[in-house]
Amino acid sequence: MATTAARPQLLTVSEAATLLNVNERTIRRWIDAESIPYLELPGGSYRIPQGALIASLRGNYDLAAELREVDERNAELTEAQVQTALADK
Amino acid sequence: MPFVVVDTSVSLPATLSPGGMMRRFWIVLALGARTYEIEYRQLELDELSQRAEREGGVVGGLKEVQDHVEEARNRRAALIELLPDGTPDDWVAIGSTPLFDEYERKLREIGQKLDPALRDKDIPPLRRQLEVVCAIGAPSFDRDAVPALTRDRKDDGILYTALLADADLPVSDDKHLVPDRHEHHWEHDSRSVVAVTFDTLVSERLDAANLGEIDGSWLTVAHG
Repeated sequence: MATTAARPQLLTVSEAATLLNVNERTIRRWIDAESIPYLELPGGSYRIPQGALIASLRGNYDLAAELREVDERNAELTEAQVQTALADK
Repeated sequence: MPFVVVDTSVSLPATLSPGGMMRRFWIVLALGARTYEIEYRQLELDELSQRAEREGGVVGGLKEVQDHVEEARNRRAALIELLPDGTPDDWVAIGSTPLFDEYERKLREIGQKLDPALRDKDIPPLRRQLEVVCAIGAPSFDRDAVPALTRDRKDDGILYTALLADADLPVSDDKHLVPDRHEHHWEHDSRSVVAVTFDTLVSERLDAANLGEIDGSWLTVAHG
């Protein structure tokens, strides 16, 4: 069984923003709102646990509504069509 | 608990096509993410607290995590209620920045072709559908330092994610990751993984009949 995967990763604000492709201001806003867990170090920098950051997307966005919208738009789209589009690239 | 890294040849069909087999596998991963969250989130919080003790920092935002874990418990229970008996609840997907970025890059490439009405603002919600299924992240690494592993440089970051995270299985239909279209053993720096195609995964590691009974719309149940 894998072991490294289960080891918690702590990210800087910059790494967290890069991971989710959001602005660093967004991460700092979530920290200010305490909507993600964080460690504030004595120098004022932050560390954010990676897994909890990703899980917090469920609190910071309405993922079910976003998915419903995507699925409605793509209701007729088949796996084969997506695979063909990928193969053509 | 199998740890998997899913590349774009599987994650794009899974997120874009609600009726396909890959979407059903995605629901298995969403269930695994909720299970993992309930069982292991405390590890991360312990790591935070230990670091705070060592370095004199302050920990915050814990209430939200506890709420997320409670919500994950509810989501997991609701999903299990729907899923056929025997659906595995311990398959966990691993994410990384190169994996998420490659998904977004490919989505931008093929998105307009599949849906001419696709707008820029439609991309982030789709990326989040990948991110949220990845319960854990690989250790951070410098993308420029990724060794040349495959014939396609863009696939190296995905394979390296799997190697670095000690994943059990990269799942991919990409010919560069699984050249013989069945499974391929990769080794680098004393780490190794066996990459498998989606068909190999379903026929040899999952119960296809069980997967066939899953409804793709149930993914919303995992999100709440």
